[in-house]
Amino acid sequence: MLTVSNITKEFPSGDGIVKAVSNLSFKVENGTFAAIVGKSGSGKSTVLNMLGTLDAPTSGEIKVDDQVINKLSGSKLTKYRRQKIGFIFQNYQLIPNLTAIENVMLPMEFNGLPKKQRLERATELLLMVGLTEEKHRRRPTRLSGGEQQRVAIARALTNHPRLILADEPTGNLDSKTGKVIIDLLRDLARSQDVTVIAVTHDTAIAKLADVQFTLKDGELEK
Amino acid sequence: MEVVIRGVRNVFRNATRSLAVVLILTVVICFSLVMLISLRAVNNKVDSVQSSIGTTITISPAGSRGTEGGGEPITTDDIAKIKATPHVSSVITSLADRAVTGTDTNLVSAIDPGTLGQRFNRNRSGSTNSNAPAAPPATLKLPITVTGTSDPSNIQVQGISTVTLTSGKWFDGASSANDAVIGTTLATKNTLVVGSTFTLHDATFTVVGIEDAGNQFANNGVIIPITTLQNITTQAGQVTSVYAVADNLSNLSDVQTALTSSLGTKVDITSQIDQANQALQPLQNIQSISLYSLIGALVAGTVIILLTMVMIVRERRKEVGVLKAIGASNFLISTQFMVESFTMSIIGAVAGTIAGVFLSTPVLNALLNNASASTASTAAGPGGFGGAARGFASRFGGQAASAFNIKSIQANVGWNILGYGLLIALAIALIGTLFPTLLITRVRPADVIRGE
Repeated sequence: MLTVSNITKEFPSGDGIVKAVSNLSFKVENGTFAAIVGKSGSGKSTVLNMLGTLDAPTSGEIKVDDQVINKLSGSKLTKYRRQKIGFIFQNYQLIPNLTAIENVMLPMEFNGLPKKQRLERATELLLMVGLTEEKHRRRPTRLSGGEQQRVAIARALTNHPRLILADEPTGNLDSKTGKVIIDLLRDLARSQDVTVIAVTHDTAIAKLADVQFTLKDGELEK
Repeated sequence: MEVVIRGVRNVFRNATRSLAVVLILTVVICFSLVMLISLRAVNNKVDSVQSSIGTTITISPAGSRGTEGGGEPITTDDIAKIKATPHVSSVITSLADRAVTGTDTNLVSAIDPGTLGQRFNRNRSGSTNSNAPAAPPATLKLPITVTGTSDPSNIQVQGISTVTLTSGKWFDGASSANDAVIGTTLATKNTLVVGSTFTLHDATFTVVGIEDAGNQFANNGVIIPITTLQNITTQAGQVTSVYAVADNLSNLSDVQTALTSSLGTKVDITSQIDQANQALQPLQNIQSISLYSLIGALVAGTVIILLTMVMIVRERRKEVGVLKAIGASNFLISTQFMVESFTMSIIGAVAGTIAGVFLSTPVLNALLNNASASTASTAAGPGGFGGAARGFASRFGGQAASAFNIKSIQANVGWNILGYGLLIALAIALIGTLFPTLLITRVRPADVIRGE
């Protein structure tokens, strides 16, 4: 379970300090697909970065399955991120000179998995997210936006994470493909028993989530 | 292993840029190797020339040479000054004399005067016409050279330093005994063997050895202890040549300067150091050019790789952020970039080494010709009196250069050159990637992703 307790994030800005997130608290059960919605500048990406250990809160605590993750640092943090968290980005962020399957195999390589197992798992995941085998050896530039996002989702799942964080996962997709991707994430949350947190400004997409949090000026809107 | 493969593959992500970098590195490594090969070849030649010139300084009365010319003999005081000079390890003294058959000795010269002897001795026979050969006296016999020495094992007879004892033994140079070593032709002419006796300046000498100095003129001489010669010719304490030996080649120049300062102009002081220095000047120019060019090429190569890698890291900053976000460590990402840098450097090293091997000899020859021509033109200077004088100096320099054969330098290209090429490439890649690696560690995924 993901537990967020009174987290605050402040950034220095000129002579003063800007509070991007203020006293935020919420809980998400395992196997749940949650959406964080809010307008631009509401602090939703900052929350996602803190949940993904890419940024640390100024105060407060984030726990995943009873482990406080915002106190991790150095190699422990890298290892935690590699093994427990999967990231999905708005622009997919695939490595352009690697094929789809090589992109999916990358986090497993960082985790020290043998090549044969990497290959098997990557093939399995790509098929699971709906990318046909003929496209596994294609580079990202030869895949559509929806296909690239499927590869990114497969990459996020490789090391059996407890938490998948998606930043505007449908931002660059048409509404039809966007819905397909959201359905996929929701199904994955249930089938893999993994917590999926998606940040979006699209309320229609957010409505498809199991749980929805709305942020306004860094605070949770009831 | 995958990280290495990814690093190598990344080289080809921007083939045009990588090709340009590899070409520049090829030129840099080729240039570095050529300069390194030239520097080593020149260093070897300089060492060879310096070790061949010896550490002996010859001091003789100004205006005299052996038994020719004039001037005043070197005195005991002068010899004391020479011995007291810093870095002089030993001093050998020598006195030259000529013995005339019938007057000074009962020995008969083994050399027939011939036409040259008649001409060289015309003034002695009273001729006043310097152009016409004088009529030789019917009894003209060339004088016999007598050399008194304090160290017969290091004897020089008529400038020849290699004197071999063919029979008998050397005498004690510090003694005042009437012992003599005579040349082979003189011994044959006078039917002398070890144990025979002869007279010289009214004293009876015993032949203790027979030597061969390599030519008939030098072998027509007598060598005796210097004190004995000083006594029988009433020249106590006087010498005509002193050989001062410096303790080290590097001190030779200082010793020569100190002797010139203490003995003044009444003596001529010579060694091969001046001649060697003159001959080596073009090589020393090449040494400087090679060294600075080598350093310049290495710095240029490092800066090129550094700037290229900084550009690549900045270009792929977002990718670095994503790799960190999905669990790659700083070490892993840095290794990938290092492999990319090393791959370009190694391709450049292979091409640069091949080019360097082929270009080293022509470049070294060009440097030698250029340096020699530049030295000669500087020495030749303007015309007129100065020009004539410098022209003479230049010719003399040319003789010095040819005496040491400085243009005969081989650019030795061995397998070790391949090793040096690789080392240069690795050093360039390593140093050039250190700063970009630091940039990688400073990339924060949150900043990069937020910056989308």
